[in-house]
Amino acid sequence: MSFEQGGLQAVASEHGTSFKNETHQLIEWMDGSPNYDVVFSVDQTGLSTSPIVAFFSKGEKIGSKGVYLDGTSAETYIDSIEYMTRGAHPAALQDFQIALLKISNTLSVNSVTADNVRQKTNQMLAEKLNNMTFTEIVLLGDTLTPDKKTKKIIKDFKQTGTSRDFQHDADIVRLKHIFYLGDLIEKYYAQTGNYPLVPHKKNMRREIKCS
Amino acid sequence: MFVNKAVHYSEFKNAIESTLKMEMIIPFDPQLVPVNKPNFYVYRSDKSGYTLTAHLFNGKGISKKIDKYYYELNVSNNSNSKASVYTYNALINRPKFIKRLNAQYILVGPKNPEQQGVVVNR
Repeated sequence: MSFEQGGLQAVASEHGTSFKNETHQLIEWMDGSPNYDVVFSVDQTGLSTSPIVAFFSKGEKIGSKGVYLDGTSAETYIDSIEYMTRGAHPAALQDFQIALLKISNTLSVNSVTADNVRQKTNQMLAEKLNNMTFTEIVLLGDTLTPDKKTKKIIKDFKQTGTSRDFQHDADIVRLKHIFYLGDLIEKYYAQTGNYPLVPHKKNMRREIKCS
Repeated sequence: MFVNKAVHYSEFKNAIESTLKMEMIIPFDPQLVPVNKPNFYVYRSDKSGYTLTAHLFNGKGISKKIDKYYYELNVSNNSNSKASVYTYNALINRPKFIKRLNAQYILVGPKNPEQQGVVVNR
């Protein structure tokens, strides 16, 4: 199954075994479907109660889209993105959700299948909906037809492994921190004529002897 | 050969606080997980002085490029313009630094000081 082979395995493992089981069930259920491989459902986004359903067409491997999710860096990656969207940059996630809602409105699928899928997936993944990761959303958005703003975020994500907007802000904070620390060090020097933690010569000799 | 000794950041904090008689806030890199570059600040000291390092995503004009999306900003008491190492006073008077320092941002930083914060004493 392309889901397991692809990078989203890491996403599933991050959610723990329960999520894995659910996705397994979902995959088993979807395996009978002639048109689609994997289904994701998003609900209760805080913006709308209507579900968003995304379809990955048969044979399309998520792993090929998510080249950045291979190997050991995957978890680091997800943690980082999660932090960015949840902890530090809620605006980015909200933008994404709005973009996804827009996408979902223009999504045209076989209506009979779509209704069935919505019901089934909402039952199965209802508890996980609020925990959807940024990575999942990126992968989701990438397989559909994203708008300009979403395209930019996906491009950033693939190129840099992070969000340029977040890093722009983070760099300013880093400079502020250096400004603050440097100021303290200079004040320390003005008072003592020495820099913090600069070792005395005696101490240095003793250290070398010990080692 | 250098003998490096890493100490806990609280030693640095104590040194500052006891001397300056003020409370010091230990700042932490806003990114909890490193991507492309380290996500911590480094303070190194030896007989000749100190070096304070931050790792930036884009530090064009104020820091040294190490790799793609990886810039190293160094502040020291000994400047070295070739290696983009500035003294504190030189750095804070650089127009590019001032411009970026005062730029607008909406970020809220991490609140977990235990996660990082190693001071290297060389």
